[in-house]
Amino acid sequence: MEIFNIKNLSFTYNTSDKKAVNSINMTVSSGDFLLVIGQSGCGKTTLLKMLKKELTPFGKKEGEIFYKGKNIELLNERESAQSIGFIMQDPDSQIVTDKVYSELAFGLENLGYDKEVIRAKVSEFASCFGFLESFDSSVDKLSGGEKQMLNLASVMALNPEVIILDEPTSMLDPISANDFFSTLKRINNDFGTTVIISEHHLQEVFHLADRVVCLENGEITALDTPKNVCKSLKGKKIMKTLPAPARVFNSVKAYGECPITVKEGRKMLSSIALNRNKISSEELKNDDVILSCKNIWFRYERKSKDILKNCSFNVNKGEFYALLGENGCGKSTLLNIINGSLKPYRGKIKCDLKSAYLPQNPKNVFVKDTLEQDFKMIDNSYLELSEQFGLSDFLKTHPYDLSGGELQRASICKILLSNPDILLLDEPTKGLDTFAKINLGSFLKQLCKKGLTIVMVTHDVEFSAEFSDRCGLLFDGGITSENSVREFFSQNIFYTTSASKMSKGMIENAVTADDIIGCING
Amino acid sequence: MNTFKNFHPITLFFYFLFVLFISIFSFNPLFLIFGFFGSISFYACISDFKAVFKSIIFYIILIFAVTATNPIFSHNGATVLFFINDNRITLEALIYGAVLGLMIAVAVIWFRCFNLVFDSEKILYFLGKSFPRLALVFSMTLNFVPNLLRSFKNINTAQRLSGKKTSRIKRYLNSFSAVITQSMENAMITSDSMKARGYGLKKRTFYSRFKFTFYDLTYLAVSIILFSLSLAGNTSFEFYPYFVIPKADTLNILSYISFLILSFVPFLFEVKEGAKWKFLISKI
Repeated sequence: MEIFNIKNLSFTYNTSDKKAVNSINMTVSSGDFLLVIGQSGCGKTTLLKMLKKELTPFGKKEGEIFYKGKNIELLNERESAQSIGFIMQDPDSQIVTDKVYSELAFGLENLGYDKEVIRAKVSEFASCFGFLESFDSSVDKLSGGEKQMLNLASVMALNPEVIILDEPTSMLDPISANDFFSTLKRINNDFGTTVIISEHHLQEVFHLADRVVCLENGEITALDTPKNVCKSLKGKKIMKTLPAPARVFNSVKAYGECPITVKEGRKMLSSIALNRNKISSEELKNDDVILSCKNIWFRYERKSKDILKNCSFNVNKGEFYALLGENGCGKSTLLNIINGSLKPYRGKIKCDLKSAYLPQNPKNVFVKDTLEQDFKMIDNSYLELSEQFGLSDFLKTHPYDLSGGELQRASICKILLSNPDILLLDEPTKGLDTFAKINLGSFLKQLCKKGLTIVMVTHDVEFSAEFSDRCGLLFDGGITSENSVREFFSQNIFYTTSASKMSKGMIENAVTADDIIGCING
Repeated sequence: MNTFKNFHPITLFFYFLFVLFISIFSFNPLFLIFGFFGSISFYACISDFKAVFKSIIFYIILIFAVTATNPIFSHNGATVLFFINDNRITLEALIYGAVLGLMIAVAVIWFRCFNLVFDSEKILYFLGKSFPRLALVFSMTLNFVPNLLRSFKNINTAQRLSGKKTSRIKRYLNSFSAVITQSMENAMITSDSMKARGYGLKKRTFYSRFKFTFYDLTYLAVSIILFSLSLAGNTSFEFYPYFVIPKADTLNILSYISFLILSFVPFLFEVKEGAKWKFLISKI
């Protein structure tokens, strides 16, 4: 049975002449897991929002959308609220009430169910989604991942036919994101709920999908099973966002089905001839230490646990240092100690040069109405730097109106206006799509070449593998392994990139998909 | 452990209403003394002992302060103790002050207990029964405020470390205006999320986790009976110009005993449950 039937759908925003969504035709069947991919601004969000009547943006709409054979415009409000669920990016702002149980009940209250019915459903979904422990706790005690899971649970409590998710994991760390996806797959398998999801980070979700639709400039460029979509996207720009095995497959002479998981990738790799099976690792000669932490001990309260225990590390001049580790391992704490917000109770930090700190949310850097005013706060000679950053056209724009990548760039620009020697970044790739990440990475590398030193705290292994010079893993309050980027990732088994996992034992020292492709093609 | 808290909000609300009503309007020293010990012993059960000890000192100071102040402003009463600047200081005014001080102390302690027992969920229950939308606003505010404070802190830190030294006041003002802009942006998302889940449809219901059981009903009935009996006697005290102490007839004694029990009910309840728990444990 078909859930959605989209006929010749186009949409133009009031503020622009270009069609955000252009003559889309497709059907979604009941029980489908449909993945929507495409570069930022390709019309993913617009398309998804149009599937939910209440969220349709203002603008000119052409064509029709049918939900179960009924035009979506004619769907009554109750039916729409109940059967089509919608989940957005930001885990915090979607939550309405103050307690976990009341959030779970929110939708059911709106639909006017009896207390007893609500009680039964709320308890059922609290146990299904793992909220038994935190059932009566405040929402602000939950982590980002738990908050997004709560949003999913409270939508599922209405027992919808279809749930639509617009980049639900872009603000989550990889482990929470993975949890979220497996829960989503479970919902799809166990309840037969139709899932329509758009995502940037495809590694973990690509193989879960039944069908993938790729959008470019508002038009469908591919619509098929994941494996076939990978094949048909060969040579296109969007290729860069696909999982590493698929990228390798498309860049070398290989036959058969396109691999999309590490397992399938290893199978493919073992069946094709390699030109080289080793990548030499370059020595890092630079040892001009400009920042050193020695035996740092830190705890937040007198009687609390130690967050950092005997933590030592050095950063050299002009280096791009990535500090990796799980949630709550003390990465951000360490960064705050380096920038001077927190004081360790034992140990020494030696840093003679000026440092600047970029918080996790780049919005927090801006407090004025235009970029120009914000830049002027720091220094009046901002023109040259903002041109280097490609921000000249945005000087009169409100910071919040910039896209994720632009905002991140602008925030770095503002921070650099004070002429620091060391840049401290806290999760700079959070919420960025693959292309914005590549831009940011090469941009940061350029800054390093000019003599800036960067210390970055991140979850993003793929990003650090591609762009950083040296990596350290923070665990149990100390740096447990530290090495140049290639050695670091090729020695790790779990905490490494999928390309490294895929080529382990076959190609020495390969950490990115490009490394593998280089070895195959010679 | 706070088992008294687990009663239904209606039962609890009426209990506090009754004890506060009598404490405030009876103006009878005996009632107030019962109330003082009843409330403070319950308060000691549900909060930390050290804090209670400290607060007792505070209440005693409060009572003394009011006792000392009242005769300076009130010169009624027949029994003159001495003169200050030609103003009469009377025994009646002094005692009236002591009772007034005690009354304030008792009311404050009961309100503290009320605060600990009546969490946001119970307040929401009362609002939600008659004003479901107002209850939602209340609950949203409770969610909004911690979010606001957190983002203010984050923005302020980001500004402090942005490389340029500014005065603290200027930074606070900047951060404040940014936090307002950010929360307006976020409010748009919240409103979308509400619309998507059917907010605004007719007949919104209200869900609460409370169930009014027979146990709650019994307890409510007992409270009502004790309350009515406490009011039954003619227990009003007169202070000016002479003390008139109400007669100790059967009805009045019954009133006193009823209020004594009513005041100590929460404390006895906690003790009973505590003992029961110990007994059960020892059996295992």
